[in-house]
Amino acid sequence: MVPGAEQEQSRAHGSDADGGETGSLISGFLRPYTAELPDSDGLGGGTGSHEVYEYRDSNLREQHGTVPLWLWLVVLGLLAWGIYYLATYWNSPHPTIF
Amino acid sequence: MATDATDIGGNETDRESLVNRRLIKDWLVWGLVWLTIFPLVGLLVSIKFHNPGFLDGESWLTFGRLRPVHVNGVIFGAFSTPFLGLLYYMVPRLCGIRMYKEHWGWYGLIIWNTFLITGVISLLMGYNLGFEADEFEWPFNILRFMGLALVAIQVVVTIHNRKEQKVYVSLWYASAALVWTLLNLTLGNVVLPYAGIFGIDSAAIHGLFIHYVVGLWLTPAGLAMIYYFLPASTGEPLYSHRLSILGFWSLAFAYPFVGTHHYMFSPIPYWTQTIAVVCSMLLIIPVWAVTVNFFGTVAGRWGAIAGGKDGASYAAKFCILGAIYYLFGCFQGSTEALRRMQVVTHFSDFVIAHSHFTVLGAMVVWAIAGLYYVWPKVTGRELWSYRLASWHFWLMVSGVSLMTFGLMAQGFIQDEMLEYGANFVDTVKEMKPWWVARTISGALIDIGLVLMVINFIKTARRGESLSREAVASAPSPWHPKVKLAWYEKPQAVMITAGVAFFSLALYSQGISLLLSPKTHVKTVTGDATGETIKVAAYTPQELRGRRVYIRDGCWYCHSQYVRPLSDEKFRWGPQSQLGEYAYDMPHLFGTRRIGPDLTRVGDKYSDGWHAAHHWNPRLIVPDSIMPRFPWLYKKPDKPGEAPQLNADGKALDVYLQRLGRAIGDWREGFSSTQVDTGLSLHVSPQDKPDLLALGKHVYQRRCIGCHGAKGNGKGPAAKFFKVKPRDFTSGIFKFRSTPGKDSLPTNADLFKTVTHGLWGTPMPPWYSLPAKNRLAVIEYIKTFSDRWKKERVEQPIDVPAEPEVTVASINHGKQLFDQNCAVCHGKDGKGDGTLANSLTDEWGHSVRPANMTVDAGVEGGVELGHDSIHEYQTIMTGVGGTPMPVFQQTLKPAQVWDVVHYVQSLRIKAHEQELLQADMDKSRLPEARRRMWAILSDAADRGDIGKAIVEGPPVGDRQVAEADPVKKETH
Repeated sequence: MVPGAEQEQSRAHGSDADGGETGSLISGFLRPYTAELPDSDGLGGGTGSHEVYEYRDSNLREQHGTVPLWLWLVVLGLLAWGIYYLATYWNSPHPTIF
Repeated sequence: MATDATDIGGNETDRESLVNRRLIKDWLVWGLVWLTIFPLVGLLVSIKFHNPGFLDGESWLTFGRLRPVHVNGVIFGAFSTPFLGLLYYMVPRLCGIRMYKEHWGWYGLIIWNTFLITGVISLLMGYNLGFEADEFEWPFNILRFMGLALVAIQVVVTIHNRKEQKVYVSLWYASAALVWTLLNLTLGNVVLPYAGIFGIDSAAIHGLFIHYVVGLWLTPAGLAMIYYFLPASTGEPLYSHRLSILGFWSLAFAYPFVGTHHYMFSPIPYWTQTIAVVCSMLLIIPVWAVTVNFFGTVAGRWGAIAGGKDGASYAAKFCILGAIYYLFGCFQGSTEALRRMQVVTHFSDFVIAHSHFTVLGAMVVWAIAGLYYVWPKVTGRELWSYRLASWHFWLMVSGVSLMTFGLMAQGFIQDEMLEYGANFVDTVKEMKPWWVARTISGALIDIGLVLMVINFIKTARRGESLSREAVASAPSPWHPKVKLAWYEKPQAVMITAGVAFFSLALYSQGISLLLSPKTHVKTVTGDATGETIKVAAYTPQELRGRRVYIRDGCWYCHSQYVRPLSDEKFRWGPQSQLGEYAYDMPHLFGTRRIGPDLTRVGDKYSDGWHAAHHWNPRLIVPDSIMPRFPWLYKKPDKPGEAPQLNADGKALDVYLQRLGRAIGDWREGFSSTQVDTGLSLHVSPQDKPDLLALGKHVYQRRCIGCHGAKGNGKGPAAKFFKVKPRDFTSGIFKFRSTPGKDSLPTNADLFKTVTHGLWGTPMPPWYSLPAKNRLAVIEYIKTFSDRWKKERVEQPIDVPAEPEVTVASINHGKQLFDQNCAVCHGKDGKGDGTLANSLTDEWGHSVRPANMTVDAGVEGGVELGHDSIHEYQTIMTGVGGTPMPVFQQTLKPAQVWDVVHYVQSLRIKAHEQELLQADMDKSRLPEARRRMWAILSDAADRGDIGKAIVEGPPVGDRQVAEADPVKKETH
């Protein structure tokens, strides 16, 4: 169990110290992958992606975490492919299908 | 089950706990009941695939009624009941307050179970709306909606009133799932069946509904559970809140658009299908995001999870197991939507693999994880046996893996076989060992589930008491105020994700089609003429037959659309057209081909064939796995006679015979049956033994049901037929190119009959058999008669070049017809001559002369087509074993051609009337007539057809033709 004071600190960082990620999709969400891994206790150091929020009555904890760079590349790749596919196959190449 | 309250020293509704354990336990008990029953129904269904006689012959136990019980039961019973029960555990604890109107939970449970019990009974009784995954009739839909709405209100209000600052990702998924599904139920239960949506609109919107059930109910509900129970059971923090956001919003955006991928290559507009393909592939984003999140959460904890022996450890194990299946199954689902992949995966068990990967392997497994986590807490007792839990886990691993990978493999095999032209029944036969493996895998899963139930019962009765701390929530200070981003707020989840994206997708993929006049046409392009013709509405009897078709679940195995893929067009017939579905509500496109596609089945088989087939499919097709339908019959008038179809059975036959005929008489020109091998079909002596062995095998699998083991035409199905199967022991065959009455036919003659089939009789076309099999069975049937040893096969008669088709030729042909043929065939060629009712064949069976005017395949019409050469040969050589005489000595070749042209004109004239009745533009009649002639006559196809025929008055209007000396001159 995370000591209460430590959590208070981490929660405070959760809204401010992380570049205002709770209010901004761009600045908070598109953070590049930093190769940081959870500490051995899994709680993080209280800043950035390792910030941990604890849900009081469920005992669930949640790191702010990151989105790995490779997954962003997958996202961008799929979106680019999707645009290409939509443009190429919007109309039927088959005369009997409209 | 023992009560637990006293064991932990307090009320069941523990004051220190936010949850009502009694309420949760009641929901979970019912969840366990449904988890036991509905997968078991799937096992029964699975056995029918390889042992079709299992539980056969009872209407309520037939495949078509058990199948929706299994599917709906697993979705709404085995999965949804535990999920809804677990909401009463998750939501209060995540919100920091008790569930809003907690006692409503029992009302919800009663309503939900009433829906499940009565709904399942209704399905077994045959009440079925005809939409896959949306089969329940309105009373049960109302119950389902009420039950879900009650829970949704409780969840949404509880989230709104929460004390917890942040909204955990489980709550996003749970609330969105409830909002989406209430919208979707309105769509599927009200709009789809009752708003007058027909044809491809019905299919497009149903495609959305069916995938909303999967993607906007099962998936978010399952994710809500694993997001909760994985970190809860491992004690680890969730790996990444950012991944949660990416996963949720990408799912919320992409999933609503994917439904049309169930009907790729259908007449649904192409661009709609393209959007579905793209969004299906985009679903890789949420799937990979959430699985990275799950695996990141347990990174470094694998050993502890694997070695854990309490309920929480097994919850973690099942969470991870489900995540693995989710990753596999969803990647499979995304790529399956790609068009080329659809060709080799759709309609086969590959689709079933996907549904079992995701629904069973992921969603149900996650619900099981939740049960393992929560059951000890609500009973206040430790899990009774970790060994039983371990057995359950490994039975689930082996069962689901065997089932899903096996189904994938067999799906590829079957679709590849079909793509390369294999006979459909052969592909079904190839599947049987795989289906046995599927049954074994299902049994493993069901045994595992029973072990879980036993374990839970024992836990409740004999498990060691949990410590109080383990049961109740540990109080801790409330958090300071946290500012949520807009995309983390419940309003955004419910309004943006829940309503806006849903509505956008519904408009794009459904409503826009409804608004487009292009999708509402009630016309098609006639296959023979290329002209636009009107599609007729269903008759009352056809509609009744369609209801029987839906009631007994024919549509679960038989699709009704021919894709624009070469193998399908040459297998089933011309590609489906949009207008053909104009009167279809519900649409019956189907998603599976356990049996062949039925789009063009009308007139492929005779009524008698259908009667025998529905009575017992294995009478005719020994390898068939189709159920029997004895409830469509009344008892025979006399013992030993064939049972007679009752009103439902007749209506079903009428409906089937209508299918595919809206595009006009396409069968006359169907290339697959138009095989003429000429004289080249010669069997070398050294190949004969092998061919005979193969032929015997083919005969026993394809022919024995009608022609009998002795080849005497007295197979078990024969009693159902008006036109009796040929007695091969006589060595007499109908259609021959060789001279003389009842002469022996050439191999080529028999090959053509086998390939083409005999229209209007129980003899179907066998063009889908490999050529060597057809040749082999020809060699085999010769063994039934000594004639083949004693007599020699004559050379075929000469067929001189066909002269021009002209009015004069036709008129001359009519004169000859009146003199020589009308006494049997009638003066209008309708088979109603004065002798028509008194004719018998060689075996004493009553026979009627052919009606020259009816469509290809209609009973009583010509049996081997109207094409010129065939008709010439038939007139010259007669019809073996029937009163149709040989005219070789009576008529000269030129006269026979005239008769041929007249007979063809009878069909053309009748076809013209059909086209005009179908509102074809009258000014297009000459061009339509030219094309019809071109199908029947090589002479016409060469452009030799006389101008008078093409541009003159309707054929047969002799007064006009004869009054016009120019036209008369053309002969």
